Amino acid sequence: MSTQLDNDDLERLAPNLARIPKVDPFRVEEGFFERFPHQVQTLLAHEKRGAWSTVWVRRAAFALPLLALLVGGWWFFRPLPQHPPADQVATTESLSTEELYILEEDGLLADLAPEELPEHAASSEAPALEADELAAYYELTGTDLTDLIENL
Amino acid sequence: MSELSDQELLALFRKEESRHYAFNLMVRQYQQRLHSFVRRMVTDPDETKDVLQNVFIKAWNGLDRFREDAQLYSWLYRIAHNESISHLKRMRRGLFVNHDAVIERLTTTLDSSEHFSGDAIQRKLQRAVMKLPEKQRAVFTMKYFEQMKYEEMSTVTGTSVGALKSSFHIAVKKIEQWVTDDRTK
Repeated sequence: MSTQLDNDDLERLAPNLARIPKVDPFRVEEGFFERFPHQVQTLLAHEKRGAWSTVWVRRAAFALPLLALLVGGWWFFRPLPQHPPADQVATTESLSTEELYILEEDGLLADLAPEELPEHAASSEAPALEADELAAYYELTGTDLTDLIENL
Repeated sequence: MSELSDQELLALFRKEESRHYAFNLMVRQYQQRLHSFVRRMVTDPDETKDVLQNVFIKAWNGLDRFREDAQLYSWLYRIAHNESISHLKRMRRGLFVNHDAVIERLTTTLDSSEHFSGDAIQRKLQRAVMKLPEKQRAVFTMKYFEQMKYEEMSTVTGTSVGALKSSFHIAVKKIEQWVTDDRTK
């Protein structure tokens, strides 16, 4: 079937439609077409002002979240004051002999667990020596036993 | 006032001092013909006015890019065509309803409108036109009421002449059926 449609075709294809007069049944209110061009001009004036503010609103809408992101990023990744771990200090800085003497043995051992303590430190009592061992020690160090007894 | 040619209007529009004057003349020159098309598509007088205003605002914003080898009226008509279809689609999406519900609403608008002066048969015809899908309604309106050439319609819609002829043919058959059914009831 041909799709070419002129008036004759319309009468043949749609006789009821062809009989309906082609009139414009829509009315417009009085003076509509006199007022309408002015209304369009008014809208264009608003559009110009709106376009300017819209550009800035769009820029702000883009810039503010970006700024917040940058500030947040800086805050999150900002350099913190350095507090190196104790083990790093111990390995990187060597103490002088004088400083070592200042350290109290109790202070050094305070943070250790009982099983980590050296054997001689586990007990608060001094190791017991036999009489002959003690005599040999005093002889070795040249300690005068008489002075020792007097000082007791 | 005698109508200016497209070239005269565009020449005036391109001068900064006569830009608004030229545009005002253009609105006056084409508003009635565009109103007729938009009104048949949209039906409601207030919505027709809104759509037509959007058409001219878009024309104002795009007129600098208008190519002089095209016809100004066809270009405006294309904007009106696109705006009308977009408006109907927006209405459908905005109401969260299907095509039938939109038709129902348009029919109610038509029946209650004090700006519709047609007799009963004109009302039936308009109701039948409103039942067509949006794009088919546009094709039928352009060919049947506006008596545009298929080539011009092709420029407006961006559809091939063959497809437009087919679409119009189908639309005519549907409307004939609906008008006949209404008459026999």
